[in-house]
Amino acid sequence: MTAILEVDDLTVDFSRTTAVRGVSLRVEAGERVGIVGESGSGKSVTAQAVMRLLPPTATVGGRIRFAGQDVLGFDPARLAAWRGADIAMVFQDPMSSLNPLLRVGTQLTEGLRRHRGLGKAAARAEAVRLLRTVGIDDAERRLDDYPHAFSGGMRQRVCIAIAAACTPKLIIADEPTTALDVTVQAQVLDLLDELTERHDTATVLVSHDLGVISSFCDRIMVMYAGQVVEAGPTDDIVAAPAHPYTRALLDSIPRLDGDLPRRLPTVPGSPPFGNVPTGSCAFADRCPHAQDRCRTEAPTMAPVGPNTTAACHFPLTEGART
Amino acid sequence: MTVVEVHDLTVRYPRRGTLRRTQLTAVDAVSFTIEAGRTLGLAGESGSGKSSVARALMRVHDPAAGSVRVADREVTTLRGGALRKFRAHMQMVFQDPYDSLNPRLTVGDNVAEALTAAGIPRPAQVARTRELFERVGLPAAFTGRYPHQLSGGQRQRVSIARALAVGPQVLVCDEAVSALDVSVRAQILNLLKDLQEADGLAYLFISHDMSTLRFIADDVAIMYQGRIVELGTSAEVFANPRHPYTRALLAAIPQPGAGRRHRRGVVRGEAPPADAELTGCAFAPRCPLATEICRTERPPLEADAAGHRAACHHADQTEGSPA
Repeated sequence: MTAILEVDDLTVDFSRTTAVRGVSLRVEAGERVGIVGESGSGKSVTAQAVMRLLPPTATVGGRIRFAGQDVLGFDPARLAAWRGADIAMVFQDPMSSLNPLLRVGTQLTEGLRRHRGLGKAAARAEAVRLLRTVGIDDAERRLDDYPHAFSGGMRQRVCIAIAAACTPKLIIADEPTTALDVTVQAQVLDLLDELTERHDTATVLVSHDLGVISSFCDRIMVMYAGQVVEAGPTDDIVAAPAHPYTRALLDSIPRLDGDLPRRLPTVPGSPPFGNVPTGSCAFADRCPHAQDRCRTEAPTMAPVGPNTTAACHFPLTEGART
Repeated sequence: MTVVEVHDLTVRYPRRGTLRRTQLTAVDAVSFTIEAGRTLGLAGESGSGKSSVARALMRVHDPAAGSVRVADREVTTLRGGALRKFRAHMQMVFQDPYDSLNPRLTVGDNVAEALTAAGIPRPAQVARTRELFERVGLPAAFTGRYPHQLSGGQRQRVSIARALAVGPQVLVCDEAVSALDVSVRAQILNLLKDLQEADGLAYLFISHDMSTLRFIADDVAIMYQGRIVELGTSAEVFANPRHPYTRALLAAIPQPGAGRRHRRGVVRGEAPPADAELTGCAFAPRCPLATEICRTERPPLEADAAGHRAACHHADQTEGSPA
């Protein structure tokens, strides 16, 4: 398989803080990769770095390659041609990512005319087809509506239709269902699934919700304090997490079936913001298994199972194997 | 002992932008009770009216009809000083502690303000504030900090301390853990459980998150379009949901380990706008079981032998079975 996206040792520095510290990521065609983490983990900044959406105050280091090309070297013209055509993004809040002053049809046909060179009538016909694909009834008429006339779930469908318009090779979805009700969230995830299946589009799904991530993604990356702490196939990680942080994330979600503990297992403290000391494990202060070594030496990503890697000196899976 | 008794509570808001004086019914004849030391979980999606129930209970917005009794006193008719006194019985914890704490006061003063309102003299406030901080798991030294110097979880602990300051019997938590990171959320849920066990507090816990409710609530009420469509013990509602909406809600929740695409696609569409004219069952347009009667006749909230109530003409009939 060919890699659509290869990120090597990505770092993102803002003037006073380091948001991303050495993230590597590889996405193959048609693959669904999830990035999960809490606030301040660097998951959204990673997504924005890939799209080249960070403000000029951010210093981006490392390498980002899209279908073999160096994304960090793209000039503005190349960026404009690339975004929308080869890569697209879906954001959390569909109301603020749609232009409230333009009809939905105008926003849908913009990319079609620009990237696919369709004429006015052809673009409109294609827009109708796209709206139908994302499950919007009466598509012909709804093209002339403004975003405010749509419900939250419908607006997110419109955003997905815009993202999918030019059948990009990769869609990055940053918390696309967080603002939606759970029954609508299910519909939107189904829709993303359908689209990726139909066109072999790869998807990077960014979310704080391990449930959403694990129900959608083939592979997941768990981020903490700007670093990847565990990565591998979803089923392996959910069944046997190696990093104590991943374990803690899984444990803190009450199950919907079976017995419940009287108290939820917790880790003390809260996720760090801004500068994290280097030369130690960022999770050490909160980790129930931390030992002296965790405070003096930063762990690096190493294999912890046949397909999984984790950055931990004392991975939880070790005991299970020996 | 029943601490909260709500009967046929109805909340209406004036509809903006219309010439005729029309109103929007946000809560439609809702009834429930909460016992001391127990938690009623109120679940529902956005616009279901769950926060309006809280606002009406707290008398932030006056209900249009119905009665609310807290500790055997009718609160819907309270005025002035009596209303202020009632607020010592019932306190609220909001979703975003950054919005609900005064950023210009230290967190200690934020809590002390509640003590002043409750008539506790200034000299006694310092010791009481430190005591409250300890109860919610914050170091007493934190009283001198400002809200922006604390993390989200710590701020929510301050909000809880402030709510407890006046010694309430009932705590209304409106999405109190929804804005917190999952690892922090678990800490706050444990804290709320500990406080309840120690003091016998009654909680009305409002959340859109069913897994949180399963953990914290003894009883669960499911709201849809301003009405309670299902009400029962948490164990019953989660194990044997009777209303098709509850089943859809539960099925739509992605759980880690449930496998890929296990969830989903259970119901089509979204809840109608809150001002839609409804005859019959509010869920009928989206319901896989809906028949003619559902569109014309509003189903009453009826209990089965075990006291598990549901408002559905086809309660207990599952989506797979023939109509």
